[in-house]
Parts: sequence; structure tokens; C-alpha cells
Amino acid sequence: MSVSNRNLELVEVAIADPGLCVAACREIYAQRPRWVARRLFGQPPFYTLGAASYLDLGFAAGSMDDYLHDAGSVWRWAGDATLTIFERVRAALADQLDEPVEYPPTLPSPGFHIFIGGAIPKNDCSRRPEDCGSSHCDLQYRHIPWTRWYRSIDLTRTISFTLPLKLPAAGGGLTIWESLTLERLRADLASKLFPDIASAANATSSATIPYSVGRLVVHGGHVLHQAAGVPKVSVTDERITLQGHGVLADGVWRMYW
Amino acid sequence: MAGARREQTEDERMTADGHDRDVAARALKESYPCTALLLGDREVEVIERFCTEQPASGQVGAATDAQRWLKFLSSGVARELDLPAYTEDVAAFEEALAELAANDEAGRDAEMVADRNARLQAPGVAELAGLVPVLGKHVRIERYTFDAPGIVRAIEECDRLEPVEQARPCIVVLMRSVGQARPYTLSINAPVAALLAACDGSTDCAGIVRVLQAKRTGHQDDDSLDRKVFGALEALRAKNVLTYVHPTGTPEGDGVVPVRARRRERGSTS
Repeated sequence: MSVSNRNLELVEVAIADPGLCVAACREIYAQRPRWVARRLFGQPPFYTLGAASYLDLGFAAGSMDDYLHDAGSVWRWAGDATLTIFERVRAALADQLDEPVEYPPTLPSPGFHIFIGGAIPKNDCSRRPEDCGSSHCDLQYRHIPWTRWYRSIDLTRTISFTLPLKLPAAGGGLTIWESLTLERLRADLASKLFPDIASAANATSSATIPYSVGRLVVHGGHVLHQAAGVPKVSVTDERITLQGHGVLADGVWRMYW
Repeated sequence: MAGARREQTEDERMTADGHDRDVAARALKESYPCTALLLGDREVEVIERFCTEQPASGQVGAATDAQRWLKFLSSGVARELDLPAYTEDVAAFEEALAELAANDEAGRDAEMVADRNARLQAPGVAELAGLVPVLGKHVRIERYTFDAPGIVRAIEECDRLEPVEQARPCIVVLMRSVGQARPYTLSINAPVAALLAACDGSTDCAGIVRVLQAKRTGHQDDDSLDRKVFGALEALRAKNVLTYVHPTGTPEGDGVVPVRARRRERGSTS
């Protein structure tokens, strides 16, 4: 994998076998009181376990103190399965990036997206745009005051990762618009080539990388992407993923969500 | 030929069948949205069977279709098709919600009971003993083998079903509330269900205590039963499940006419 590319190419790494993923899901289920229901733009509710900067600092415009208060919480509830997965993810990222990787004690750690039944993104949103996942680039790092803790921060070279722990019967994946980089999107929107991101996405070819349970998918975050939808879901389908981002600060990749 | 009934062509029959299926599917999704979600991949198969086994009666309207669906779903088809065991309960619960929400009399009684309770002074024990508790048509009492309200809540909130999908008999008060489109759901225990069943619209509170005391076979006389019953009645009145009238049952100059309790218990757990 080339990490010198500003838009990190997508890589996939085996992390956990199905048994370990099932065990981690059991630990996540046991934390049901800690799950936070999220409702965005009229979408059916989904849940998070752990603070997510894009939600807590972005959409909800919550306080930094509240967000940072969640730092370290995962280590208090995680069982063996979750702890094993966190460590394997850290080691795999360090191996792929060839640089040290840590979960900084000052920041909330990567956390979990939990989509169940009707909340699971569909692949047909012709009736309601909310049925599909949003197309976006990962810019949540803008909400975090990195200079409070670090001196040298590189926000041009970031990573985003997803580790599926459970997927709907119809699967799941990541849809990416490889040619729609953050720079190009900004230029196209500024020149009014496209009125909005959705129009740019509709006019540009995309590819969907299917997810597999236990296999980590890593990308740069600065290419337009979305959670791939599925044609049909049942009320018992679950899409549980470990989600995280990384920023290179003072020579170490700092993982957060 | 004029006056003769023309045979349907195959195309026409297929169109008519397709129309029936569309109507049936729409009725299912409108009246039983969570039940429809439970059908999952079996939805088309279930709709096909419904159209075959419950042909349209010629009556038009969503309520008629909803009743046909409930009859169909209660006929054991859920077991036959290996649908979740709680499918019938979820359908029955959704039917009860929809019926109450669409019932004009229930809406009027909800307003009347709320208005009356707002004007009632908290009665003392002696006064309460002589009052007659009455329920309106805004209240239904239902029994389920599964926690149907919990299952519907989980489906609607896209939450996990596993914690609520085991059989757990429950008794539920469904109630229309003023200003609320969706009926309110209140889980109650067997003693409260017995208390509500005793509220027949003609027995005063003291009489209800006597009725309940008489049913407590094998129990010693409970001197505190009247306190418990009066407390429960007041708690139910605070939620506008019931109100009180004077035993004469006559209007009291405020234009409010007492209503008699209406209960439709499914008895699936009895």
C-alpha cells in the first residue's frame, strides 16, 4: 500500500474470524444502555457506542468537554473480544502505515455504528433520499483541537477505517467515487459544475467494495464515499461496524472516531 | 352481447389479480406496518395466500381490508409459514392501535374523560366509595402472549428484537388521548386488569372492593384492599383511563353523560 498518496488507496486486512466478531457483538449488545440513538435528516434511528466527532461535535454541535469526557470509556466496558480486536486493528494499521499507531488517552477511541432493520442503508433511494447512506468525505478532524496536544499535525494525509463485525443477510460494503476527490469536489462545486455533492455523485461512476465480517477496510477519507446500501433488509438484520479515523500528529497516527 | 355477462379474458384476470394484490399489499402496509416488516422475504408469498384465502368481500375500504388481514394472520398462517411466533400478536396489536386511532367515538370519549377529570376535585375516601368508575370507548384492554408493544417499539426504533422476542404474556391498556394521534399504551398487571374488568359502569367503588374481595378465594380478608383499590383507581383516573360518575348515572348539570366500560379482551392468554 502506498501511503505517500494524499488520497490513500483502499486496502483490506483480515483482522478477526467470525467467532471473534460474534463475541465482540455480544459485548456490544451487553452495553445496550450505553448505545446512543441517532436520528439524522428524518432517517430511521441508528445507534452508536462511543463518541463520534462527526455526530457529537458536527451534527449535534455538542461541547468539546462532553465529547472528550468519553475518552477511555471503551477500555472500561470492553471484554476480551473487543480488546483483542482493538489491538489487532492498531497493529494492522501500524503495519500498513509503517508508522506507530496509538489510541490517544485524551481522545475518545474508535467506536461502533449499529444499524438494525429499517435503519440499514438501502441501495434504492428513489422514493426517499434518506433511505441511502450519505455521500461524503471524512472531514470530522476539523472539529478536534489537535494543537491542544500536538505540534505537528498533517491533515492532508488522514485515514478512515471500518471493520464489519456483523452484516445484514444481503451484505454491505463501501461505495467510492474514486475520481471525486475532496479537491475536485471543491473545485467542481466552486465552479458550479455541480450544484451539490449528490449531483456530482449521480453524474460520476462509482465502485462498491463489498464488506466481509472481520476484514478491515482502510482508505484516506478524502475520496467521496458512502455506506453501500442493500436491496432488502429484515427487521432482525444488523450492520455493526467498528469505525475510526486517524491523524498523523507528532509522528504517531492518533486513532479516534 | 348486450345483457350477457362477458367472460374475463386471461389478461383481464391477471390485471384484476394484480390489482387485488396491490390493494392487499397496501392495506397490509398501512394497517400493519410492523407486521409487514416481519414478513420480510415472505411478503409476496403471504400476500398471494391472502388473496386466495381471503377474497375481497366486495366492501371497499381500508378498514375492511384490515379486518380481512387480521382474520388471515390469526388463522395460523404465521405458524404454517414459519413466521416469527409473535407475528399474530403484533398484527392484533397494530389492529387495535389503528382501530382506536380511527374511532370517532373513542376520540370523543377521550376528550370527555379528560375534560371531566380536569374539573373533578380529588375525592375523599368516603366520597370515592360512593362514586362509579367508568371507562369510555377510548380504552381497550388487550392480552398478548408476547410483549407486542415492546416488539413494535423495537421494530419502529430499529432496535434489537432479541431482548423482547421470547413469549411473555402481557396485559395492555390501549387508550386514545386528547391531542395524540397514536393511542397510548400502558402495561398493567393481572390485579389491575381485574379491577378494570370490575368497572362495569354501574358498580360504585365500594361495590368493586366487595366484588374483588369475594374473588380472593383462599385469601384472608384484606382490610387494606379498599385502600389499594381506591389508590389504583385514582392512579388510573390521573392517566384519564377512567373517570367517575354519581351512582344515579344522571348528568350532573355539566352536560357529561356517563359511559359504560367497553372491553374487548382477546383472551389469548386465558
